[in-house]
Amino acid sequence: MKLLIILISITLINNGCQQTHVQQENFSIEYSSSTRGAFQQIIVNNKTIAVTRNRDGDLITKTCSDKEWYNIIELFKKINIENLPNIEPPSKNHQFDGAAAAILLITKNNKAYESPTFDHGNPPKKIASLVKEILSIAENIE
Amino acid sequence: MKKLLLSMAAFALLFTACEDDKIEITQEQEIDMSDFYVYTDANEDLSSKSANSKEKLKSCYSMQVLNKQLDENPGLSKKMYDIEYQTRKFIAGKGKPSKPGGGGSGGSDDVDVTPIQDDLGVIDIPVYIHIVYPDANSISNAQITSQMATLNADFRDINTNQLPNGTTFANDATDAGFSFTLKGTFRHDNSTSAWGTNNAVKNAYPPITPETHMNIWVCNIGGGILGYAQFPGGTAATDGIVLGGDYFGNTGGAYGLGRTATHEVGHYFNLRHIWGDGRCRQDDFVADTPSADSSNGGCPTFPSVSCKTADMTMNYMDYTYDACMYMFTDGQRNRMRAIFDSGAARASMVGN
Repeated sequence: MKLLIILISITLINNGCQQTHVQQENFSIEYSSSTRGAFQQIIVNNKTIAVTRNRDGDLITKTCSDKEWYNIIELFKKINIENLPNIEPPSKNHQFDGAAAAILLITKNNKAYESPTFDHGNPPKKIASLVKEILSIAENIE
Repeated sequence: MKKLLLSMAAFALLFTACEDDKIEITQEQEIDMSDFYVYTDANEDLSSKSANSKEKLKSCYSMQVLNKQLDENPGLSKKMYDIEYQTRKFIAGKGKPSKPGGGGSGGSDDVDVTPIQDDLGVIDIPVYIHIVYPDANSISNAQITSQMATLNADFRDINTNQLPNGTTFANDATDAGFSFTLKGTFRHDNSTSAWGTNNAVKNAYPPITPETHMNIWVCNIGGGILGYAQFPGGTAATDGIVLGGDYFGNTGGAYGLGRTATHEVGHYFNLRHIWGDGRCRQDDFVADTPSADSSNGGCPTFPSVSCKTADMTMNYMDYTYDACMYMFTDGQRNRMRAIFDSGAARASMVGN
């Protein structure tokens, strides 16, 4: 009986997750940062996160936990992606190598929206929470 | 002289014109500042806006850009604008007129810039080096000597023999005409393991006579940063470049030939990254460097094509490995030397 309940709840969790997924339109989020000595690219879509840490490197992929995926979707919803190309970077230290140069690229319904180049470590306010969340999930991928 | 006066007058008009739309401004021909930016992508926004509402923005385009920048960082932006204006005046006055930028249209025509004839000769840069490590003797004098040798080679050598077949870059490779003389080394034992990029190391060990000497701090930076610089026009208290000890002089690995210093000194001499820190439309203000969509890394096989032309991945201002970068262009040379012209941002360094 206990086992049954566990099984049912697992199924429910799975279903719940898929539902969030289905409700959400097709989108992918790509964060890249590069400087002369370091490179990172993170691609998030379909509840998976893929990371590469050098320019020619393979992607390391993992499935997001429900919580991670929920957080990403919630933060994603708050972003006005049409306005992404116009957001104002708060600093430009990447121009003299004081920071890696970062770009956030969002693709939704086959349309791409790209942020201006901003400093890795100091993202524009409007996308800061999403960038932070993605970076912290990526950080734990080995 | 008359011409110069006229252009100065036109420039002065630019400053007053925005408030008064009745004065009609024809775009200043000799010193075109319309493409200048301090904050890289800011003018991309503006250019897209100006496409919608042409008239007003068009006539005051450069001021719109400048105003925006002044809002964000009043002192520095104005200074950088002045330096850029002075640079263009110098190049326009001394060399063949060449429109800064170029390559932006994606055309395949090879732009060749003539080295300007100034009276500066080989400009010698006196250098102070501050070694800041838990054991400051861990960076040897031999390592310092190897770094000085690399700087002295890279700012004089043309290296056209290293160019791969098929490039159009041979006529662009330049003898930039700079030498570097070590005037003093200062060693500081400090247990800080990562200094970051916020000038902390410079605050701890201030630069020595930065008006006349280039200061180099060698320390562990951290965060994947090999080195960082400061453009001309910044505050004197933080003027100079910072290099990680693992990338200082002849060490080992992909960044072990001392070219991080070459790249950072390029910034210190007012060069931008060769891709202009943005997409194809964003320029580095140098006519003979091809437009590029982003940085290149590693050691690319020629050609790496972006924005419809082959990128100059072997330029010191790209992000490629040390062994795979070996040239400045004539246009970059002119831009760097302009900073040392009489009255220019680093003029006080000449002749020390």
